[in-house]
Amino acid sequence: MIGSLVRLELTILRRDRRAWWSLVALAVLVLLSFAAIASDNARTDGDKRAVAAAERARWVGQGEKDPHSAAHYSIFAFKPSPALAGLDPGSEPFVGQTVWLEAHHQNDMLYRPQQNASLLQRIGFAGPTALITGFGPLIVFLLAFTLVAQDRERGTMRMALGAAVHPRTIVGAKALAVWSASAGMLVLPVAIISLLWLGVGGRLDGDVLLRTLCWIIAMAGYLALLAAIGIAVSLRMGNARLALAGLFGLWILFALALPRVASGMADALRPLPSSQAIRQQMAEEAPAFWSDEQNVRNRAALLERYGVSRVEDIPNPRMAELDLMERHSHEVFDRVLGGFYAKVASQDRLFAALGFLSPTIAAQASSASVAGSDFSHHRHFIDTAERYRRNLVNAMNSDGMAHRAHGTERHTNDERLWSRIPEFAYPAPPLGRLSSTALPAFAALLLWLGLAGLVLTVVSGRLRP
Amino acid sequence: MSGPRFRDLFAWEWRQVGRSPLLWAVLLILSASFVWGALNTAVLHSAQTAALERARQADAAFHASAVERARAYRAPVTASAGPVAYWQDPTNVAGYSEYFVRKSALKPHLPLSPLAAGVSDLAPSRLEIKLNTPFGFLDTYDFENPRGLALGRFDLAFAIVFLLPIGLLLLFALLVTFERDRDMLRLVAAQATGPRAWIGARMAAILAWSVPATVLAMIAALGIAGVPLGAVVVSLAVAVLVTVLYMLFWSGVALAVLARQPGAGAALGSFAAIWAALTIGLPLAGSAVAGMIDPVPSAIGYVDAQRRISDEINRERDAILAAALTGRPDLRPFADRAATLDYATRLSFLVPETERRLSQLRIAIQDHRARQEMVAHIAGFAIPTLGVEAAFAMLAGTDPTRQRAFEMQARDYQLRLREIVHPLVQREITQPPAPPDRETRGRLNLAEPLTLPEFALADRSAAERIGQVLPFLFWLSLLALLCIAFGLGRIRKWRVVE
Repeated sequence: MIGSLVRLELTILRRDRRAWWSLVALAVLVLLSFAAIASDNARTDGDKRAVAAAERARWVGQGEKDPHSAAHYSIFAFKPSPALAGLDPGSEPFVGQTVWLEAHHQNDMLYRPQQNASLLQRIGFAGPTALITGFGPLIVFLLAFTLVAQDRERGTMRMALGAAVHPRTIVGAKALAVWSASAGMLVLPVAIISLLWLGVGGRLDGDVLLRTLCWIIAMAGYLALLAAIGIAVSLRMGNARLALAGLFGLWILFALALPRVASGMADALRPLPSSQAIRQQMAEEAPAFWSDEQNVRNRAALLERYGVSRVEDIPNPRMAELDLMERHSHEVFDRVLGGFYAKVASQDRLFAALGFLSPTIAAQASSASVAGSDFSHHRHFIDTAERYRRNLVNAMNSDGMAHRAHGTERHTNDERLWSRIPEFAYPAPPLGRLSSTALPAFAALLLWLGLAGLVLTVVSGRLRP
Repeated sequence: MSGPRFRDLFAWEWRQVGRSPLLWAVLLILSASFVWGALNTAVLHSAQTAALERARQADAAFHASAVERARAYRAPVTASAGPVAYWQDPTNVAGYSEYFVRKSALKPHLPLSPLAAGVSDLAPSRLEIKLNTPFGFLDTYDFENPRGLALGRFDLAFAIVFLLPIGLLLLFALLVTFERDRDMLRLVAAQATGPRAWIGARMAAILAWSVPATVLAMIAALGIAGVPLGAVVVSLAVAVLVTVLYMLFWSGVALAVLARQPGAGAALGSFAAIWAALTIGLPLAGSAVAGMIDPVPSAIGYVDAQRRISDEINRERDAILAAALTGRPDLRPFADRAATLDYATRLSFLVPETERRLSQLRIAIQDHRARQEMVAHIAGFAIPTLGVEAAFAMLAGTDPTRQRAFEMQARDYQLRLREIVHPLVQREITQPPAPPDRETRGRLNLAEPLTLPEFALADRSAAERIGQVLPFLFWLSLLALLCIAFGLGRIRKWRVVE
């Protein structure tokens, strides 16, 4: 019976031009936004693959030189866009896409896609998730209002309830109709197109399938709780005007105001030091070009390490000093930059926890984590690239240290050594490995869903003809 | 039967609307959002200002340390303290040029900056200038949590551009449709009042409360955020005028919808659709079209070009240097030294050559950016939400144009520094080579680190900034008038049946 009731409600929805066309318009925007982002990512990823191959060829073919010079030459590593970035670009437009892995420096990732964006480009950038989480509530509430409040206003609700054995079935059918219409138009088509797109691009695997499924569940769950809230508010409010004002207010609060307020709160409660201060601290504690006074201290440390009393007894003192400073810098980078990134993660955790204030926050944080486009995933790339850099530089310095070079003597090496360094490859982490930051958001989304369902059950239980 | 005068109607409505709890709830929420927005941006800008000050101090400390070391390296070489390597020696002009010239180009905030975050959360306000960084500076930035950047900042501009129209439309939708939804419209229509006067008086009454409250809240929010109001009177007045005209524009839009005398549901549905179209639909479509017609040059391609050209330059290094020395009358006699120049001296010739070879790509990127800004500027006239946001950013000094001017001036500053330092470095080519065993620890071909000029941003005056906003201001006035006239024109008769 509920199936035919849902079909009836869907027919009523389709007949209401205002509500239905709003839903269709948003669905079209979601698809257009996906197409724009996914095609742009595909183009950029193609560029990255081509230049990464060129980088490898340059590295291997750099000719004979001092291994430490090779470590300075090094390579640029490119971050591929996450497979689900077309569904939720998350932080991607605002983080760097490439990093130079040179000796002595843990460089910043450069070339953020939105860095030089005009105001039009910045305001006009919205991924499918942003559209669904930001404007989905407005549409879902409009659909719920159409099915319930107007029904009540016209008196048809009273008749239906009087004839029904279980009023909850009627209310359930309305909620199901709103949910199935919104999820069916906003979530499913774009998810299916995304899977097809990834399949054509050869990026479809078990993890991508699982991530897509989780994204569908998160977005569908979000729309379901909105449908429940929309129906419950429409049923409880004294009249249609109040219901509409209440739903409008909830949309503004949940989707427009609270996410930005929560983001500002997270930044204010757990402030980050300026990146300028971080860079300065790293340069002071682990300088790439150190002073002559530091040379004296380094020499003493090397004599102790090698257990000798003269620098001449160290096979390659210059390279040994470079290695000493390089390894010292690793400790500094881990402490200073690692601490900084830990603070960023802490801000994100707080933001995810603020999902208990608004389901939109919970949905946004969950979606970015599932899509692999949050900062945790970006940090994973940074750490992977940094590990590669350290291995490369250590291998170069080790080769130098293994060969005697004093005064004007120089040890050089060639392609035989360069080709022993494996090509840089970035395996994206599987779903769940980096989800801890977003765990509070998943919990909040579940709680909101349960709460909305409970409220709807209670409200529909109290309905009287 | 003669109807009541508009003035009387307005006075009546003004009193009635003033008693509405909804009006005060909306105005209170808007005022709170204004204060939060202004404070939020002020906190960001104050942190950035502190970072600029730290950068200034760090530059001064770096210079002082170089001076101190330069003095220490005048000491004679001893068994325990030998000659200092050239890259550690600020008295070696070549080493100094590459390793000791580090200055900051700083972009301070303007007093009215809490009005709009603009590009201040995304674009760097400090650029590190070294002599041999191609094109002035690296593409670095001040890290802001990308999650916050993606969401957008809750600044005063956001509250005015996005939230204020919603509040206003909510008031119009609920207060003007009251009679329709309570089935009292027939009663009103039976009076000797035309629908134009009736709806007009009600909307004017809402505006008569909302406009002063909004203006006061805006000024108070900026004052609370620490803006020296007395120092920015004219810019602030223009910002207020833009806000008032923006409210009138939305009132015109509302009037056009309410002219059909719909119920609250229909009115709010239409308002939401128009609002969504203007705030996200049109910008999204505009941005997509602009991106398709004029795609951004690939940053990845630029990295590739940099690496390729750097390799080319390394391969052709001696030939380029020989040609550079031969091409200069003062250096021609020393062309045979091309292959023995130190790294820093080589850079003084090779970096300009690298820039020359990369310039086409660089110009393409800069031109694209300028074109996109132009497109955004024009789009601001078609999409008032964008236009108001851009106008606020312009008045606040957080606009992309100021950022681009800052970056261009930083590049000019680097060229000025090169003009001062590079001749000193290159003059050394003409000097006899340093003896292999020198007497002092430092090379001493530069007595002391130079006191180089500081970067000072040449900013446009407040009057010029206002001048940039005026065309949009006039356009918005016209748009508001047209919308109101169109709305009034649509109200012809009572529509008691929906």
